[in-house]
Amino acid sequence: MNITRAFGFIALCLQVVSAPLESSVFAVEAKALVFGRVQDDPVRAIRDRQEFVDYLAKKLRPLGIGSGKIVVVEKLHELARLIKEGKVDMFHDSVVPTVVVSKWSGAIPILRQWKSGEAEYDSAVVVRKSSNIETIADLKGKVLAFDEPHSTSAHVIARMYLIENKLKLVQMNSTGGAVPNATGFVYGADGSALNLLMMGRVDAAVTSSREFNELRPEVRETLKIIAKTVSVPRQLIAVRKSLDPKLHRSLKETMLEMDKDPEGQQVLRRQQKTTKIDAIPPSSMEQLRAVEKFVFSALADQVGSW
Amino acid sequence: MTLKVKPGLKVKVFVSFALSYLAAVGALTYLTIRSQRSALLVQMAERARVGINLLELSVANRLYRLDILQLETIAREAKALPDVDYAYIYDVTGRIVGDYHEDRRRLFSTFNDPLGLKIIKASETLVDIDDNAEILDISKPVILNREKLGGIRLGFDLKPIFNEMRKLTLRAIAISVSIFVVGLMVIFVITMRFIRPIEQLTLAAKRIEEGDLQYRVGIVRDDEIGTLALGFDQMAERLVQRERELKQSQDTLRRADRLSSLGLLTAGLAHEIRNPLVAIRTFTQLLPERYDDPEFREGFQGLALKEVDRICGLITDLLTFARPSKPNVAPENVNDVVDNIARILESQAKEKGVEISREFGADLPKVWIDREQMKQVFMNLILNAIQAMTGAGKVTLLSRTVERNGVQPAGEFVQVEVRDNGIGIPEENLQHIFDPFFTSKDEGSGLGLAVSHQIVQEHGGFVTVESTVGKGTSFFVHMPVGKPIRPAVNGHAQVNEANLSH
Repeated sequence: MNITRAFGFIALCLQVVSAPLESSVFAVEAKALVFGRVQDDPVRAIRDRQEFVDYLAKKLRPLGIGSGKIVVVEKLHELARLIKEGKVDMFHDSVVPTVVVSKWSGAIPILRQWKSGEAEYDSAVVVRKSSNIETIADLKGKVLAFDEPHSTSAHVIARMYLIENKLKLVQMNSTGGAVPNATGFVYGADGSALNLLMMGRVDAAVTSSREFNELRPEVRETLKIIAKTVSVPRQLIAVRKSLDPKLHRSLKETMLEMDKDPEGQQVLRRQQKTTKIDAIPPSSMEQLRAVEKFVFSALADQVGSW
Repeated sequence: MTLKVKPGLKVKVFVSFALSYLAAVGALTYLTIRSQRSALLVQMAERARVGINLLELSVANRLYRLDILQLETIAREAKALPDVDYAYIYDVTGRIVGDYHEDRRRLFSTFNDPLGLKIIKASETLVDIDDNAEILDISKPVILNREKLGGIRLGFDLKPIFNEMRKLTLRAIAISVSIFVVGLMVIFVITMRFIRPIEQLTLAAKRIEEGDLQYRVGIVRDDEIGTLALGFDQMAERLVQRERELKQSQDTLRRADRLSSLGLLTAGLAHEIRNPLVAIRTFTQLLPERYDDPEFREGFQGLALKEVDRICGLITDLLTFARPSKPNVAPENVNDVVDNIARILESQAKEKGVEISREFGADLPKVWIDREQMKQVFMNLILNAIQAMTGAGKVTLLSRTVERNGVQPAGEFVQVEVRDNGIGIPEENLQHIFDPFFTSKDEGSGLGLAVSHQIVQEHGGFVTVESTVGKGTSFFVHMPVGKPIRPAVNGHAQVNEANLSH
């Protein structure tokens, strides 16, 4: 047997031996990157985010991610359960839902999302221009409208602010009547607090400054802002605590780089007009802890149903 | 016996146009109904598409969460829409999760509906029209991005549309029938307008074919038919002129033929005349010596009168033959005509040692002929027979009645046969013997048989010939019994080729 033939035989043996190893041991099973979302409208939730998740999945392909999937649930606790069970890898939401789900599931908020081009936003207490309410103190004996209970800007942040400003808030079953020495409040559906104000059914309403500014001028002219809260991150992105560290790191890096990648920019723009994703500033982290403390103390009776 | 009626051009054209028109109207009606049906169904299908797309929007979120009670409500609301007969919503396994079809509820079925599976496997909207059930079934999978959530299916009741289509069909048929009837009337009028002049032309052609050359179409129109009619009339006019010229030519030919025959007769006649003159001269020379002999005088007188009468008779016959006569058709005994000519030619025949014998049929019917013209015919035929002998021979003249059935011309004919036992006619000449100027003799003009043939033809008769080379020839002259109306078929004498032999 000459040398050439010997090498040929060895190469053949290696090929035969390595073939099954390649398919069974070294082959990485393609997994899906699962994005969680709490929303009433699953169709919209998925259509708005699929491209974003697909983009991430494509970038994470070297780490064995084959596709991106979105799971939509109705309640925050459902999302938290799925994260805990390892069925959802990441989610994004405003401050309050992020804090609540993270608390329940152990998820970690890692980035800030500039939704609608805003890094942060605040809440505003709005009254009719014709009313004699000028300050927070004037809200005593009046009725105030919040949006949904878990709304960051239209409820929690403002409520924290009002309580910090010594206003006593009492929930009312309906908009009729008033609470002496306190401020009555009602919850409206998403975006309906302002409607209740404009219809004259409440004396004040809480909304985000951004939403107020987006009102039609002729409507906005009839209203006035009497107080504004501190700004909080517009949207946060959190990941499952048990996520593979490599994947965690790559995911974070990918999202941080998205605004520098032309394709990433396009995807971000189509995902709620996001302009960039960046790190959460330390001050915001402090706010998150404050919000968490407030929600699980002041709103402890209702947070369980979120 | 079946009576076979041949449809005329008018009927053919009318029926053709009517059938074409019927086919066109029928096709148009069919296509109109089809397009109406298609349009209505397309409209319904579009409506159904809108309906199913709206249903998809309604059920997508509910299907995502498999909110069965909500899906049931949506199915019920979908069923309540106008013309919706049933509504089904399937989950991703093909199980019915929202159902509303009359009172038959299959909600919460544990089995997977095969149709549901088919819908979910599909990648697009499926539309099916069931003509019998009068239902438009439309279904589609509900897909959210890449994920199939389930399927939806709606049944639209097509009965109102089908009823509308039936009404439209009846209306279209009624309108088409009306249009067809009106169209038929128009076609009839147009057919009459176009066919009538053609009929007039046809009639004119027939009349001219029958010999009425004076008939004219007389259509005055400022179109192609008018031009055709004018051309036809001008053609008829030229035909009259040609006929006149032809007649003149024929007359010339006949005169030439007569003169030719007279030339041939001259020798014989001279001999016939000289013999009695010699007898009269001899008697006249002896008269002075024997004047007192009463027996001689009486004998002389008798002989002289007899011979002079004979000469006069011959000259009269000759003059009669030679003088052109006006056409005069009358019922004649053919035997007399033939015998008269035979007598003229007898002396010439004798000179050649030819015997002319007669075997005339008795009680032959009279035939309508021009005696003088037919004499010329028999003169030619008998002269030819005499000349066909190289030495002594026999010419036999026979007459009889023959009946012809199944061949044209058919009917009863008097047939005169001129038979000789001469040299016969070779086959290659037989086909041409009736051609003008065709002759096999050194001294012939080639006109005799052509003229004879033409004369017989003009009498509605025909001439045939049988000949065997070396044995003899027979010419058969057929003359129709009764008044002839028109010349023989095709204007040609018939040669009985079956009987030709060498």
